[in-house]
Amino acid sequence: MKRSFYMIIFLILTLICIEPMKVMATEGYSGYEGGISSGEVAGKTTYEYQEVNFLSGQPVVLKGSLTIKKALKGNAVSSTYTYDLASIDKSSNLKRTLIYNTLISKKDNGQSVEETSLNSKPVETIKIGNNNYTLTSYDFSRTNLTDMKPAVNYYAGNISGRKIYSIGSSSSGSASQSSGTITLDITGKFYGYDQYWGTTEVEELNYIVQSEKKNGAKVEKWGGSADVTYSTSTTKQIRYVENKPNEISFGGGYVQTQSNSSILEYTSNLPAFDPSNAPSDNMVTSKDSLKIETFPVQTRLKVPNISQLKGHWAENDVRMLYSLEVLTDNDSSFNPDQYMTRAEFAKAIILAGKEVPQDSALISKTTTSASTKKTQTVPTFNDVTQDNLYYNQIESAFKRGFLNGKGESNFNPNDYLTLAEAITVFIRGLGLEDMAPESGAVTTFKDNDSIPGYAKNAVSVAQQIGLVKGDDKGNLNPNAKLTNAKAAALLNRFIVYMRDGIRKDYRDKYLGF
Amino acid sequence: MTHKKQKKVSLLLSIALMLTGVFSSAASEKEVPEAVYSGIDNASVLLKNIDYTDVKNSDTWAKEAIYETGALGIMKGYGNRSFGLTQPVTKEQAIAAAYRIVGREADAQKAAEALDNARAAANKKKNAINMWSDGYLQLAANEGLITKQALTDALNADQTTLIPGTSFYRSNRAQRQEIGDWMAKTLKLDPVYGQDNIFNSFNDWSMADPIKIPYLEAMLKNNIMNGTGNGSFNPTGTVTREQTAQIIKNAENIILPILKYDKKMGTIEDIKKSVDSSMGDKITTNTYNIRNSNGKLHKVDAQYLTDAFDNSKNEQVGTPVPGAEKDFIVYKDGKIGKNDLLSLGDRVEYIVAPDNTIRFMNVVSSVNDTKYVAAQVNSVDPSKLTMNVTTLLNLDYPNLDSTNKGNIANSGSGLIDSTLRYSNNAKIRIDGKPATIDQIKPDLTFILTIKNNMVTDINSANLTLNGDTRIVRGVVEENNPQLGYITLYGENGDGVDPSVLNALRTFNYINPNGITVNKNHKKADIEDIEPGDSVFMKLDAGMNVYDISAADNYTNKYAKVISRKPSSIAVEFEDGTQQVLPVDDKVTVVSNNEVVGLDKLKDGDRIKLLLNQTNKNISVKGITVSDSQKPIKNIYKGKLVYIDDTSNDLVLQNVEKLDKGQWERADSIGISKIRLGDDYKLYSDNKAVEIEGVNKNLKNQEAYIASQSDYGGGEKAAVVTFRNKNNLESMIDDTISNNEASANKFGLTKNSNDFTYGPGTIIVKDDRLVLGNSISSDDAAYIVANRDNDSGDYLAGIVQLNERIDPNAATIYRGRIKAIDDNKSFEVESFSQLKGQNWEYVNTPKTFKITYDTKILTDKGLIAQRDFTGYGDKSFIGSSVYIMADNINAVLVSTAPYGPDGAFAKGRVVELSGGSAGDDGKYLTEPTGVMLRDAKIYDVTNHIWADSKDITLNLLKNSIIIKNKKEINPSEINKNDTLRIYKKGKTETGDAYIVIVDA
Repeated sequence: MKRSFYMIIFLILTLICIEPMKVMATEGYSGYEGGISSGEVAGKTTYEYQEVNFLSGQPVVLKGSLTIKKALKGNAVSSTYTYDLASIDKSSNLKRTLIYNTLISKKDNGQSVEETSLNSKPVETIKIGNNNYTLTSYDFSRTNLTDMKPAVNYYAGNISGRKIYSIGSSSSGSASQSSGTITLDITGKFYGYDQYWGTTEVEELNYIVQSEKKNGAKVEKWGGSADVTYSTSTTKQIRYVENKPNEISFGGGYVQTQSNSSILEYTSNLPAFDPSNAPSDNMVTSKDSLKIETFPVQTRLKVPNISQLKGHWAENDVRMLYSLEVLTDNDSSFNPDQYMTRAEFAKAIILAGKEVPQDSALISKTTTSASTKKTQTVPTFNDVTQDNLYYNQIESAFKRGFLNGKGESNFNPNDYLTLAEAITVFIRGLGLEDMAPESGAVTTFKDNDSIPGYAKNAVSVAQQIGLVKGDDKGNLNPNAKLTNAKAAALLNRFIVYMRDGIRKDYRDKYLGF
Repeated sequence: MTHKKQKKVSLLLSIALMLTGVFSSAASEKEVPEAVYSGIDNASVLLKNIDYTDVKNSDTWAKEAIYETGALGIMKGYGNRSFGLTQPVTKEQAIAAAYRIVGREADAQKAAEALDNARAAANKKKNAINMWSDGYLQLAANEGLITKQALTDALNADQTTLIPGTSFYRSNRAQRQEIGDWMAKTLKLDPVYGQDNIFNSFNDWSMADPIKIPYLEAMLKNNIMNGTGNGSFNPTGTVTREQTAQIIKNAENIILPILKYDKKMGTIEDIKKSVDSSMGDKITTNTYNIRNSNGKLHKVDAQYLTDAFDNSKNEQVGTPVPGAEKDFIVYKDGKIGKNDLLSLGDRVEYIVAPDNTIRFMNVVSSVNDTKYVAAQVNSVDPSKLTMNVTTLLNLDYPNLDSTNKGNIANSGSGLIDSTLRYSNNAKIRIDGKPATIDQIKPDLTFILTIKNNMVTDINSANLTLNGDTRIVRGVVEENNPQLGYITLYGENGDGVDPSVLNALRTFNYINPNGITVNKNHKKADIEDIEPGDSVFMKLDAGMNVYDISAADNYTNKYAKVISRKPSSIAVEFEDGTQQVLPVDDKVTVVSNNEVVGLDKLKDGDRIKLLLNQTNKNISVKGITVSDSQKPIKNIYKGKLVYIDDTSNDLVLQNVEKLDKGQWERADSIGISKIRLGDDYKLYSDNKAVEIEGVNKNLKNQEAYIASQSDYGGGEKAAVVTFRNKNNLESMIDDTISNNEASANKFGLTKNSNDFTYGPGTIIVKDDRLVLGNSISSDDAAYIVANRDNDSGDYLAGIVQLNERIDPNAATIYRGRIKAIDDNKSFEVESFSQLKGQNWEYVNTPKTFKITYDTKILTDKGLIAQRDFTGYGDKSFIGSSVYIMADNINAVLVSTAPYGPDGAFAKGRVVELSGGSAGDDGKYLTEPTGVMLRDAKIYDVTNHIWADSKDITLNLLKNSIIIKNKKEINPSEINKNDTLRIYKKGKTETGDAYIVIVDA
């Protein structure tokens, strides 16, 4: 309860200070019909969309638009998905309207479970070649668990459905006469994450198509299968642009490029059809892929003055962090050899691992009114009171779950951190503790034995995901105090992992294996 | 995670608060005590009786037990102020004790009286003790502790008539197993059947009476009895009286409630003395305020006579006025006495009777100088008298109740390790028995008494909760079933002294084959437990492993195969690091959802490795080959206009595509773009370069570009290598003769030059980008090389190692169908087989099998197999067909017409015609024609190929098109492919019947 309250407060804070532009491919923006869309773009409800249809016994790629309208009512979301698609040669087309009702229930451990069902009579008509397919019944169920971690929300879910179509022929030109049915059984699972630096969702659907069609006096029966895997993600890429003119006050700066990208791979195993369109025993395996990319949006980042670091090994890390405004203190006085205090680290980590943005379609208006309420807050720590320069940041870092206090209700804001402590904070922020055994996790660092017991798990995970590497001799030096320079390198690597590293597991790696 | 930790912090906090609270807030006068207790009337007499002379000055380890059982009247001395420490207990004494501990004296007496009443007057027992003893024996027989025959033997007046070895001698020494059995029964312990782990951990279990084993197990499980310390239980051994006292003491948690005694703990926080002389004698009352461990106040009054008039009387021999004494027995520092032994700050255990009298008070320590911790000993260094321990819980009293145990059991990480100094004469007890420091095994839990920062008492503690044995967890460092041990790596390990591997704990297997093993929640063998696994292990009383539950900690890593050797693979991980991993036949390799052999791994494959990785070794548990390899689709050459650093597009001009070793102009005219892939690499002069540098220095230079397939049918540049335009480029089609990977050069069979390669060389094998070491002799190669004008060396820019198309086309027959067994097989009357350009006739029938993969082509195209029948209007019997066969299986049956002998043509594909393609370049309908250049027509009389003008042929719906022994669609024919065609006539036009793609 308390936590969620602070979350709301923090959300409002972030809503106010974060730039208004938001592009997010959050969950559900590709619909649940096995296709990919260009992903959420603020202010837009209609997206480019592609899917593959297998009803005719051959994979038919349909492209067009998907319009999504969402409305939040209490803990339920009502969303309307309207599809308008056609094949490239226009010989086939599809029109579909589905209204989903999603119930969200919060669990006491902070996770939330969604259950989605179809709300009213679904409508779908498809024309492929001379055949018309009309949806006559659709059973659908989808469930989703979201696990909120300090810097990342992870989710995983399952989907299942059965669609029954009646087949009609449009060759006569008159009203189509039902000559058979096609049943499409769908099972699937999906995984994804949402966070400030990017979002990715990967979904895997398995279809079984079964057709029963009258051909004269004979009933033709055939069946086929298809697997569709797709991944849709939003990423922020950053690159450095050097200025061409020499006589300019700064040498160059970072440009952030944000774009959505969706890829889809399908494999189908369907019968071959003879010239009379009757199924044969020869099975045809088809495999292909689709891709939609949005046009990238560029943003120029702030240029810090860190001329004192010219040539320092952490120069780029520090410049990046100031450009991303993760480091905000006076840039020209940044001392790379100074130890970083817990307070300073708390301030940086909440900016490096920014709060997960909410689906803009679902931000209820009531939260804004809450911001007008003034509340008396009690400091969590005895040694960090409201007059502390870092009060808000430390409170936020603690409440979001990055950092804990030290001892009884103290934070020791001026203590220095060790590398092991910092790694623990990063892994906790990512919520990936479960990737290594809780006790006795073993790393391959030469000085594995000097890693404190509490940090073994985190260091092991950090090594697995590439967040930390040993020095040239294979040592980690986990108990060394963290200098500003080292902290900057770590923070930057943390952001790079959130931006690029984690995505691969939900995209190329997932689709390929 | 966070919650757990917070909870623990608060728990420790509250303990700390409790500790400090005791002293800071001494009981205010107004506090109402929860209970008020007093002493007993005859404390002095009792003290006299139990202050045994043979115990007093001994150093017996059962002292507390002897005094406690004595004070509670459960065990009595011999009456001569001697206890008889080492006297063995007789059977009748043991039976009596077994009943006394559960307060059944009255029942025994009744039984005894009944027995005695039944006796003739002469036989009546004179001795009360003997008579009661009879009563206990009677009870024992009634309740099944001994047999009726044993009772008869016992009551036999003339014990000399009994038969040694068979009869029950009541005065014989009781065996350990008998005492265990009897006590377990009178204590009504549930016998433990089936689970004989504990008992089996003693080496002499087989000597025990099998009927008694379940009861002995119960005694062991409740920690009432233990082994004799050397791994044996000694079931037939004797029990001394001091041992008996200790056994009873061990059972006090069960016995005290039965006897309606209550054991409490507290700390004396105030002592008030008041004197009353009103009765003439001076009666002193000491009032003790005890802060009970539950936080409540208990008051204990002790009054005793201090005879002001006769100081010669000491307390022990004095005979106080009845009712004047209300004192109690106190045991402190190895001495027994009365309340005056107590002092402020003493931590005491006190046993209270239902009448609110104190029956026994044991001073465990004083708060002022002593603390207690439950700790796990990690290592002991006897030379320095230090021990490294993990503190599990700070205790108020040297005792673990179930709450404490629960707290310890649920505590996770974050425990503190410390090194403590121990006293050279520290009292060590393991399972209640004295032990020496070398008997302390790592991972045992002890309650340590720490006085003045020195460990003075080490008592093994049992963390057994509700009858479960001890459970340890950790990560396996080594598992050695052959030698019978397993070593765990704990989470601690401060690394202060690397020679002391205090992070490691080794446990033994008594019998590795008898251990229950589960891995990943499935039954497994002990050998399946590997280094790196997380394990939970159940330990028996001897700290031996009898049950293991494990889960692997395998990790996934993604990599690219560099090279494969019979017992290892070299891989490059995503971060660019390379490693050689050992592999064997047991490693499963999965490709396209099928288990395949290691030999299916190709250089350049993207793979997912399932690794079991520890800091000591790495082993491969599984390999999954990516089923979207993103093969190299094309190799281009083009002049760079620039690289668009926003979209990462290479902007190129004069683009050419490498096609069969030759540059062919690309389809698109003018400027074209190709996107850089995710892990693109740019090289110039074999050095990696950045986009910035390229845009600065390499515009208008020619580059070689290897492009990979991308999703959605597109392609992306994987490697871009700039060539020096001053060098002469040469195109070579040859076979590798040797490759010196160490010198980065290879030689060719026909060409006599050596070719060097470097990081920037685009080497493609099986459509994958590979490194130089993958070039092997006999590989057919297309090479694009640049000759350095100065040195004359040839530098390979592109090496394309391709499997050449197998020129031996599939076996093709033709014949007339004689019979068809629907969907199963068909037979031809006789057949001809295509060999080269000739049809060789064989005059015998031949049968071909029809499988699900058999395709039937007619002039309408593919028809359903089920329509390939030998009856009715559409019967195929009598039709002449071409059959492409794989052994006896028909792959393709075509009804294409017979052509004349030798009607062959060949040539290079100029274009395909007649098909329609969509926007994405894919064919929507198949091409129906093909045009060949450089054409030749077969001259059947002279057996030579004669030059011809360009040939245009029709592709029929039942034309057979074969590439690499596979039947393909017309759209799969590529431009520049060389075709060999069997056709309708000998002219330049007409229908193609069989099309063989040669190269």
